[in-house]
Amino acid sequence: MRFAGLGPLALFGLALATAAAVVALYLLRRTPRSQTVSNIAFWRRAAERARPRAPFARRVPWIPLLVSLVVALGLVAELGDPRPRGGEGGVTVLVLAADRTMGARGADGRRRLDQALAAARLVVRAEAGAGRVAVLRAGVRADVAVPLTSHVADAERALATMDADDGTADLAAAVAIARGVVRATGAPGRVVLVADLDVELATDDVPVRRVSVGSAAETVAVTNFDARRDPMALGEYDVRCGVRAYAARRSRARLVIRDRGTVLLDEVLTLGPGEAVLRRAHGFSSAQAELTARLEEVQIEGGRDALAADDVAYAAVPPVVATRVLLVTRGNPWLAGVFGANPTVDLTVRDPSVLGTPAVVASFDVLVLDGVGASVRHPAMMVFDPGVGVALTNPRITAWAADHRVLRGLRFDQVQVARARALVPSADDRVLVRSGRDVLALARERDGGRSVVLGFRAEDTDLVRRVAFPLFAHDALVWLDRREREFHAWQAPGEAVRAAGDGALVLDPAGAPHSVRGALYDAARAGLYHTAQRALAVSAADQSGSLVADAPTSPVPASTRLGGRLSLAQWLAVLLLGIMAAEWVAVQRGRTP
Amino acid sequence: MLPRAARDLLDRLRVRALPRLTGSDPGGHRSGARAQGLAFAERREYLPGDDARSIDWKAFARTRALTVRTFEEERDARAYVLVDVSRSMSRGEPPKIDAARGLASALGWAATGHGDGVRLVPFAASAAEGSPSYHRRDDHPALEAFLGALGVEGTTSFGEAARGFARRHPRPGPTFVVTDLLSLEDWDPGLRLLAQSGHPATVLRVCCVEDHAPDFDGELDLVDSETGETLSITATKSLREAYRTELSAHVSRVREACVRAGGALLEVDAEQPVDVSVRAVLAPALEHA
Repeated sequence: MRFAGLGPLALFGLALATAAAVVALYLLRRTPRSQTVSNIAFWRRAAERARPRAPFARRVPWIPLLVSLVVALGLVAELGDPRPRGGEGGVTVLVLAADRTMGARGADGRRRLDQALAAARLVVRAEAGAGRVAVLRAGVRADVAVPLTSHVADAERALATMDADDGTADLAAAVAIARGVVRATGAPGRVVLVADLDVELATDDVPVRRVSVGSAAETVAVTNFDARRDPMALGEYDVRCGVRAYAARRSRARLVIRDRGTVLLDEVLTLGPGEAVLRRAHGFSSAQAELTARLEEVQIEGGRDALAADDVAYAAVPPVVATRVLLVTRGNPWLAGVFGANPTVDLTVRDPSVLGTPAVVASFDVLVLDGVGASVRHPAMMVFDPGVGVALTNPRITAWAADHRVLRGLRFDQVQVARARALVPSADDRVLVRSGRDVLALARERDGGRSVVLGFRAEDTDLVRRVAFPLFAHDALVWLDRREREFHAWQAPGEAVRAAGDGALVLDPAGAPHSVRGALYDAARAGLYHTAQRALAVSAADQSGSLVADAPTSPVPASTRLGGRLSLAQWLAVLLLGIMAAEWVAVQRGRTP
Repeated sequence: MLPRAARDLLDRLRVRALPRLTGSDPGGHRSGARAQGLAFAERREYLPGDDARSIDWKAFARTRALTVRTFEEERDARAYVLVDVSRSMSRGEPPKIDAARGLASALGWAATGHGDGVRLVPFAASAAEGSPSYHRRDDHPALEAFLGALGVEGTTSFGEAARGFARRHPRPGPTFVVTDLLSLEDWDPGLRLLAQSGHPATVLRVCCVEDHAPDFDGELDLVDSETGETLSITATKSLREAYRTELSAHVSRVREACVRAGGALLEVDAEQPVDVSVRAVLAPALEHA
């Protein structure tokens, strides 16, 4: 037994003061009742005869005094926060999974998080009694919920307010942080991982004890939900939604996709065991679309939908905003045609001789230079044939950066180039197209600006005649204009929600305002966030579902299966109350006036 | 006040009176005085001056000696019942004074049934004037009325009361003192004085549970029922034991004083019905008529 709340000296001093106070009260306490007798002379004589020799003995009712002393000292001991020496001592860092799947409910209706918190409390009580304990919350980010402490109350306060995030947790990273905390103390210690999933951990000198919670569950989930504008159809956007049943029996659910209040799709899905379906929908709006896919009336034969959080997904489609493009050319029908046909482009074509002032050029979003060198500077430039470099004839394209945003979905192995110049990339350039060792195209990010440079002119290649050329031109504009983020229909929980300017307001899905500087970094909840400029969807649709269906590795260990039982201090309080009641019945009964 | 059963029992009993305590009127008690009477006393030699009517001629015919038969004169007795009416007699459930009234009534019934007189004398700090002398059964209602009118008042001072009583009532007679005995004074002088004045006293101690077996516990302010004095105590088992010891010693002292004074001490439980007390305690102290 040790006391976590008070030091030995403080506890001893408090006990001494309390005992002194109780004894003094008993010496002073006298609440006699009046009793008439025939004659008090005999009582007086008897009192003189029976008067004890010891000081105070005549006035002190010993049994109540002793009982009160026991009660008072017991309460002092409780103030001292008694702990059994059941812990292992040293430092214990508790990693508590608090991600989306922890919201899944078992057959008893309890969430996995509730089970985890109960197990965590037991660990905290045991380990804080023997040493120090910290709690690391592994939500979409791992953060320290309780710094190292030996006070159970601190840890329990933090645990009481803990809730699960909508995203997924990187448990391995959280455990690594926890191990770092243990190591930093220099004391022997351990990590206790309370989670519903098994995770592969590297071997380390800081041991990890696993406490598994939850059980395998069935669910019907929205597994992906995405949307994007049709580049070729102004105002239109496509929506794609995947639904999967993680159940051993048939299930049924109603899928409703809405753009704010407008229903885009309302369909009842009947799914076999493990079946996945994909549904598409179309919407039309030049303004921003705020999309919600929700599974309603989910029914699983002989079971229940364990996780409500995976029944909903969010996406946002940005509004139609035209990119102002200045095409400087001596005449190029291909480029003028491809930009002119793009409904998201506001095109201006000028001859190099009438280019205008730098201020005029700077007023455009993207500057496209076609065979006029690269003498003009602009933060977003697309350059065809910069006019420098070794001349190449019929270079064969051997490689291209298919993962770059500009070349996404394109193939260049069949593209013919008649004449070109070999570009010289710098260290921070990204080569887009290569012919052997020669660079034919590159993407450059320098001094806050972006440029795409092609070492050939439009008329010297058949690229412009290929069907993918409009897509190439569109993606290049998106990248140059830094609008690629806007084309993401959603982002994962935990990613920052960016807002322009200091002190900008971000409204979370519940409508609560947050004043942020650049971004809201605490977007762990799924839903639609709103800044002054746009809405942003935070969704975890493509990451959940199967995790809930997976069976945990083991039940809660017996050593931690104590949820709901009284703590030692509570037992002590109950015992003291019992003693007080017994004292009342045995000693004080019938003495009330 | 006096149940029928007690009356039936008392009809066969009478107050025991020593010859020297008898009165001058004819009665049922042997007086020791030789006279014309019904109670044969002795046969003795004739002496000149003896009444010739008392010569026993039949004995002369057998023995040829003149003898005379002497007879003892039977006289009445006057009994006194001193009733303690101090405030302490109001204690108990029922109050001790009720038991005292019952006992006095019983003594009165026993006395008046055989031609004896009885006087009731209430006392507390001193003896009061007392009742008239009752001689006949017809007087019993008046006796009970007198008892019923007694109220409790004052403190007990038996010595003072005995002095006053002896002064007021010089005629000797058997005396009964009905009291709870709860006065810590020395009762020996009072009892001796009574005996010397021809009133050997039989003390009937009326006690209640509160007096002889109190069950008080804890912090108490005891209030004296007679004086109103208070005493703060912590009633414990040991204190209660000490109290009972003190009380027993007192009663023992009074008992010894009674014996020395030619009387006795009888103890009556105030909670008992009066007929039970008469049968169990009072009857053995009386004599058969």
